[in-house]
Amino acid sequence: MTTDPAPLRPVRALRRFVLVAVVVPVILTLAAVAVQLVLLPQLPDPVAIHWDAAGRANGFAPAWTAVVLTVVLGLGLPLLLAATVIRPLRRGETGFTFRFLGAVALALSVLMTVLMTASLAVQTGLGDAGDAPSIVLVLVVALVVAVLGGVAGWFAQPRAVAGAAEVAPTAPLALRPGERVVWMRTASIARGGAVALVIIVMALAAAAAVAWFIADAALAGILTATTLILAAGLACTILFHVRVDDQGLRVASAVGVPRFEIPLGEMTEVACVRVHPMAQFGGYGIRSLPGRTGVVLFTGDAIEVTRRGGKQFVVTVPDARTAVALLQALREREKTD
Amino acid sequence: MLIRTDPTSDDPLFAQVAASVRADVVAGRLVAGDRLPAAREVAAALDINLHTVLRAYQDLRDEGLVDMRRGRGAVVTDAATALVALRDDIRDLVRKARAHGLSPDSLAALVKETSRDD
Repeated sequence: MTTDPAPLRPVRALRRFVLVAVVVPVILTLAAVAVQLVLLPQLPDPVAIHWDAAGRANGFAPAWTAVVLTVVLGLGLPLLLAATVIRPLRRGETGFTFRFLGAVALALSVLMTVLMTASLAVQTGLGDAGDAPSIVLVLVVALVVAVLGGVAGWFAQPRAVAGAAEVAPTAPLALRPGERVVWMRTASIARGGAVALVIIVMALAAAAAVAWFIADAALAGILTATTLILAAGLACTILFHVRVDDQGLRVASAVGVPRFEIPLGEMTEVACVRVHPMAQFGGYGIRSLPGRTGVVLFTGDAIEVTRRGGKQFVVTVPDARTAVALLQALREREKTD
Repeated sequence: MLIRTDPTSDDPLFAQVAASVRADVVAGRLVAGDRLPAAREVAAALDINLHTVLRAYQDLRDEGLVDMRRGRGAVVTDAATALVALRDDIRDLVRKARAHGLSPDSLAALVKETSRDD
């Protein structure tokens, strides 16, 4: 019996992600807080927490605010990032996006803990925080260390496998000679996402309306324009009509544009694949990767068409299996005609 | 939703379209609340007359499988659930008929006759 490493990969990706984006930031934050508490008795009160462009301290606060900020930013930010992707990761998804977010979470944690701790360290022994030395060097060092931390976080996680797995191969649909067949289906973005997007647009519209009354016209104009652009984008990506017939595959948004049409003769391969939008396309909606375009609206089965020249087009749609079976049958019939 | 029409069949086109929709419901490709595609679009894709598709949709409405409202199109009703409940029985029947060498048309005729007698 041979051992297949493939099923282990998602587990390993999840473990390493948690290590990089949660465990290490927790340790870093605890260490930073410990150092800060040791420094506390030797610090001026208040301490400098902000510097102007010339490097002079111009913002002050009690020393404990630095400790609180270290916890909130050094641990809170990475935890927030981790929380957004932990669910798909636990479902076994892997991919570039997750690996990248893990590395960013670690880099942010390093940046915040080093910056906060070092900015306190340079003030030890000062009688007045107004004499605090310039922060530029501390900032540069913190940034460099953060980038190094991010790179380490990236390489600590396993390489992403992003290819879509083919669902059990579909048999072509049985067609009678001369039979006309059409398959149609509406694909809409996952309900949770759609609700969130609509709420965002409505909130923006409300803000724009309020701005016309109480704020200046420029702000109101900008808000209104943003609302309109977002609403148009929403209308173009929230719902798609997918059609398969003897013309080929046609995918059009509810408003008609954008639209994708692939004639049967253009196709070299058709398959039903399982798509995880976050892992494989880095998000939802119309996504373009090198050599691969996707209308990916939810996690689930999708039609995958390979075109002449090797470029692929993917669309997630309910009942994709039937659509693929029909496309295969139509292609076979066209070849024999 | 899969709609198939065979111009060489003896069944009228509107009946074939309606039968396709029923088959979609039985196969679970359409469920209660789903909207049928616009008749105009179906007609264009199958290269048949718009009124043929509308006639099929009206027949489906008359038997209660879809609800037609102005501006909302044709929507599958809860009657779909009843059709799905018949799915396993229909498959059993077809399998038995095939085992006994009975053609689908003969089976359909028998079912029709039996429903008339009941």
